[in-house]
Amino acid sequence: MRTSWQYRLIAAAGVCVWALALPSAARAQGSLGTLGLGYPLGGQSARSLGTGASVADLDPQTPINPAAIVLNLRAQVYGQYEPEFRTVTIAGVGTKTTTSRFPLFMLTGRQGRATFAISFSSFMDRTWVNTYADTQTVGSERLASTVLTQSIGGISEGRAAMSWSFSDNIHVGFGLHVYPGDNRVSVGRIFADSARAGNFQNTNGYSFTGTAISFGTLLVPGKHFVVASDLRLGGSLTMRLGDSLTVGKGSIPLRYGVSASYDGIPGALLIARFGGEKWSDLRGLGSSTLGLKDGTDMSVGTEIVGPRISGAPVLLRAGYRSRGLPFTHGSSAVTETSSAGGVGIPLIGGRAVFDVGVVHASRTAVGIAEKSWLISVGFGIRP
Amino acid sequence: MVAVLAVVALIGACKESLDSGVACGAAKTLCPGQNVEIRDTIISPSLEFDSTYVGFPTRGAEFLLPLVSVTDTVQTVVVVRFDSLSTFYLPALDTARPIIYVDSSRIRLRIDLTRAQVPDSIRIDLYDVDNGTADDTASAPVLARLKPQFRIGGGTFAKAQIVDSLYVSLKDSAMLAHVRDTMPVTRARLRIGITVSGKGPISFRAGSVESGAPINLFFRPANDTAARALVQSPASAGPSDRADIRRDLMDYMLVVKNTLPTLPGTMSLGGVPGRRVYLRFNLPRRITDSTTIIRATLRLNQVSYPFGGAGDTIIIHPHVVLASDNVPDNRRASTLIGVTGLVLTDSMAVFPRESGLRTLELYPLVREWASQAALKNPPARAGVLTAGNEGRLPRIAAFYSATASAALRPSVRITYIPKITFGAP
Repeated sequence: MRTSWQYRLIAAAGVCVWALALPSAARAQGSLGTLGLGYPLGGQSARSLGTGASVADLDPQTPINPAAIVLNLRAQVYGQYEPEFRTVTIAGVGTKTTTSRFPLFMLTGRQGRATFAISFSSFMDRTWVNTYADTQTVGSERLASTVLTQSIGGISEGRAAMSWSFSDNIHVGFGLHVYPGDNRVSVGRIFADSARAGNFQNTNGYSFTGTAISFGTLLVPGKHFVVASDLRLGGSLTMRLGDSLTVGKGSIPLRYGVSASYDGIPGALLIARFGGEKWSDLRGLGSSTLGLKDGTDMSVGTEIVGPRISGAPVLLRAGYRSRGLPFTHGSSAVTETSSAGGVGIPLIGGRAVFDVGVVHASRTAVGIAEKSWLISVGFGIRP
Repeated sequence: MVAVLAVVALIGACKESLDSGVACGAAKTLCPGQNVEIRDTIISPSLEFDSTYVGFPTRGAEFLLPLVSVTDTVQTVVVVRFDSLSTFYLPALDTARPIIYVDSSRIRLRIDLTRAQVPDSIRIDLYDVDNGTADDTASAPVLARLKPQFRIGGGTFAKAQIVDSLYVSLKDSAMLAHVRDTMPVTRARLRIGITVSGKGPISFRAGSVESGAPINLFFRPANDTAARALVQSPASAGPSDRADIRRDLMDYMLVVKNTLPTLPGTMSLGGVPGRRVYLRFNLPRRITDSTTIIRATLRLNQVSYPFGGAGDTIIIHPHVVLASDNVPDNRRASTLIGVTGLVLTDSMAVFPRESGLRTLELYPLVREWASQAALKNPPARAGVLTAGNEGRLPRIAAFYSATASAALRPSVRITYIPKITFGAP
């Protein structure tokens, strides 16, 4: 017999799943972050983002290290909302855009020494809208027009993970990943003189299917140290036009990472992470000129115990991150550095957690600068 | 709480804003995969055939009745039937009495002077065109009565008199004879033919039953100045078995003479009676059905037509053909067309005496063909060109037809986007 609380939890989870299943209603436009197949969100939770992603391998809500789910201790449902506000500056002219995402949803449960989790997250988000005036030669005349281009969707990541605790100090995990994706790209043009030329809008829909497996460990080698690592081995990733014509084939990138934390200072957790992704595994998807660059991901962060609410501590977070984005701008690599902060607020005596992460990212390539504010709001319940 | 959070998040998603951006305009490398190839080609020959059909609008369907006289070239007659004349009148405070006297007989024309040509003075003649047969629909007997012995009225009018309404006198004796006619067929009916003549070209129009401003007949039915004039409206008694034709024959226009030349190897439109052009296109389906058409321009080479003033213009409208190939009669198909502005909104004005390349935009029509390809009986891939004020103005525009040489025949310039893969990064 379910309690009313359980019913509310299921209803809330349903809303979150529905929201995740929606095509992203976001709007953005040409930016460094959305080059190529899109922006690699990486499935970072609001907590992880608040630490500059340094805690990624240690965070049970971040679907990177399957062994880390053991840290949830009990069943949990978690969802996240994440708007991003960008300013792209080209030759001194700035353009503001907004992108909205529901990047992560996760359910976790435990049975004995085993912990299970299923999650659905955004692997790469390729959502933007571009509108700009242009002149087009049609027949023998040059006609004024407005170009409308739009891309909606991207590649998602579904993961089923299990971790096994050999002891309190040794935990290993295994994950099965699937990568469904849908990306609808529209190109249209509205002519100022509709008597002479017809407006048009063409849409191509691309679908993606891919697989991968991942392994992870979470070790407690000393009293104040925790070390966690993850390794993802990519399977194939196929890109189709519509639902049939294969237009590209590549692999899910190899990913690796190690996080280490130290809590020897009372009330503070110091974390560092090093990782990387072999983005060149995506070669074969998209055009032959698509520039790919393997990237490393380095971050440091901290989580500090703050004031208590109903006996449970509020956690204050900060971090710094530097990573390479997968797609080049021309031949120029695009790098992203970000500073982050966040807060984790316990609710209902620790049975629920409300995480907020704020990231200020700077992405640069030759001649183009992009500043971004990303606000991540996560909510988890442990019924 | 989670539900609240999700709802708040969704509301936030609905309120996204987008500043007008320049990112792609300034640096197209930020928007790869967004450029589509646009191709442009001229297709010639582009017509399977073309045909010029004469006689539009059909007899009796004229909205305005053209009165035209161009010496030795074009002459029209407007026929109006009054097949239900009053034979009694009602004096004031008295019973009805048979009409045994008439005076002040006349007809009233409501005149349309749009693009009219009126010399300093014109002569209008009224003829009795009733040949005395029942259910007569033939034109020849009417034209045969445009002779002096059948003239029953008319007059000469100065240009200043040709305004919106014009009264033309009718012989009272002729009027009375028709009112008192007791013959079974011609009893109480009067059919009048109206012609114009003068020094110089004449062209103007009279209102018709279709326009709601018909030619009316007036006469005073008694030798009493207190008697009010009777007003007779057009009516046709025959043919008795066809109400539609009876309505058409209330008033209509016939061409008495038309010696305008037909230029070989051309198609023409305009004139009196009106001509229109039926074009059956033959464009590659790999383009029309499988690409996105941005522009389709019909290119016509105009031939100078030796008639009309240098300032005369003809407005040419393209129309979609609604008839499918199940209507093999292309003349009939050229009447089953969309109204002006349906699908095709372009038009062009030409001077009949000029020559050169003229263009009409047809892309909406070509796009329609692609969307209609799956229909069981799609409309024919054809179009019809008509002249504005069709059948009302004696102006003709001519163009080289599909039988002309490659450089002169009609062609279609198409700008299109082939079905290509775009959007991939």
